[in-house]
Amino acid sequence: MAEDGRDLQASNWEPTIRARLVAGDEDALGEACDQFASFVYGIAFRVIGDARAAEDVAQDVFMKLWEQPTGFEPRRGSLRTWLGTLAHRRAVDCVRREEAKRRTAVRDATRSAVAPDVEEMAMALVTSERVRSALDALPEEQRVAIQLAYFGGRTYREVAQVLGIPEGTAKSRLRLGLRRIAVALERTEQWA
Amino acid sequence: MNHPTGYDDAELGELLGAYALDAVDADEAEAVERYVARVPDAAVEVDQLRTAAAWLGATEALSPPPELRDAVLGAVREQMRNDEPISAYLTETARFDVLVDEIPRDCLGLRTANGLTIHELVIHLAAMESLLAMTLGSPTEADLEQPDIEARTAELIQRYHDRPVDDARAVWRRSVEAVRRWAAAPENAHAEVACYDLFFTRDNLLLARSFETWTHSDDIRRALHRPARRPEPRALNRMAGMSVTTLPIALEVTGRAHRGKSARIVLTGSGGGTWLVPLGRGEAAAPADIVLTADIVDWCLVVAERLSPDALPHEAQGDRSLVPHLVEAASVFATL
Repeated sequence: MAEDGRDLQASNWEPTIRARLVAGDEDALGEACDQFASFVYGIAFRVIGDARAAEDVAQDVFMKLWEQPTGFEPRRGSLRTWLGTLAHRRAVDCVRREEAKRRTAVRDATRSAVAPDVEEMAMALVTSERVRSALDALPEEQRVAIQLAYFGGRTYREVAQVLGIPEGTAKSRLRLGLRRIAVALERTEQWA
Repeated sequence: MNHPTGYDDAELGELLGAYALDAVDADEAEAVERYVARVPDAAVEVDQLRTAAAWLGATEALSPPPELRDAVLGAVREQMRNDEPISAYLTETARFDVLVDEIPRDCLGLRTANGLTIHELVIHLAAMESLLAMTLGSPTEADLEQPDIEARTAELIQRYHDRPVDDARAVWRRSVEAVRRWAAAPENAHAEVACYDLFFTRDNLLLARSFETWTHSDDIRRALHRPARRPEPRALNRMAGMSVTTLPIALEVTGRAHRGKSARIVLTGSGGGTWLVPLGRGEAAAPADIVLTADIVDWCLVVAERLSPDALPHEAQGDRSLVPHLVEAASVFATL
């Protein structure tokens, strides 16, 4: 156990945070922000490329956690996955709404890797590193397709168009590539 | 297998990767969600792919502006302070949701206070909430337009009784989300809604739903021999306040009005308060003809018909003959 009484393992901490959020405990939301704000904001910023809009998305995501903590179901995945899925979806919605906005300009400008929770983020850094390696290890055509879809906020149809490939090929590149990353990740979790 | 959506299972399977990356359009996303809901293997794959996608995002962790945390907590406090009805609704529905997870599956057949089993009571709440969602323009259950709540509950029991309780809860959850979205829209802040054969302001609607959700949650707890749970004091105060301020109408519709007279209702305990109400049409005038003092939770139990009016522990000063009329009228709007 950590000094503040929180279990180091996310699997124990997360249901506790969920229960506290259900009970309307504001401090629990503060802790969730401390833990995951960099992650949520990072996704939103990477996809949208605009600091203000990314902040709005991040705020929206944490408000959703506050309003509907039971939307996160531990048996279906981690809180990280739930928040990340939500952040990405909102960010993509934002990009698609403001179609064709500059997506590149601001990127990388204010990047720094700061993380509030040492243990969780140490684990996160190790895992991110593995995910990055897994991404790098993908056949280039799968990697490019995934980057266009996930970070570029493109649909598989747009991915097909950009790459000049049939839509069916785009779909299977996305699925196969993501599966490989999932497998790499499962191995990491087993080791952890 | 072909579906009305125009996609067969093989095509939907091929879309899972794109779906997990949010790289599909809205129609495709809906088709995939239906597919995943009925094919457990696909659900497992989507969960794995979503986890992988979220980890892709983790490679981009970036310090947010320092004011983000304060902005989030500030917005939450603002909501709690300025919008108690929605806070009460979100809290009570979240507690119910968790409670459903805690029900041992072999206890679903236990009877609750209103005669339904625990499983049927979850379905009844799905019927109540989905009727409201439909009334608010967001139907959450296909081919179900029945506005009468008993008939609606019976129809949903037919549909869901032999299925896992999670299926009924899914209907309820979709409905709660529809209600939440409606309530959050600024244009509905002063809306009036006709539902359950009554008229509600937006705030009273949310408080009435919070009240019923709390009451049924306690029905389930009692059936499981678990202790009852009080709402948060501010929420309890608003729920009790709603029941007290509707007393004049309740007295009128039950023929118990005493126009020109008034009562001071003093509800004690955490969340308690004092209300001066007329005993029929018209304005309340001090001094009150009767001062009724009771515990706030006991009062709510009477309102919810979980405690008989003549069993309400209370103190009365003034014209005591008014007490039975007041207390009996309190539960007129119970739809439980």
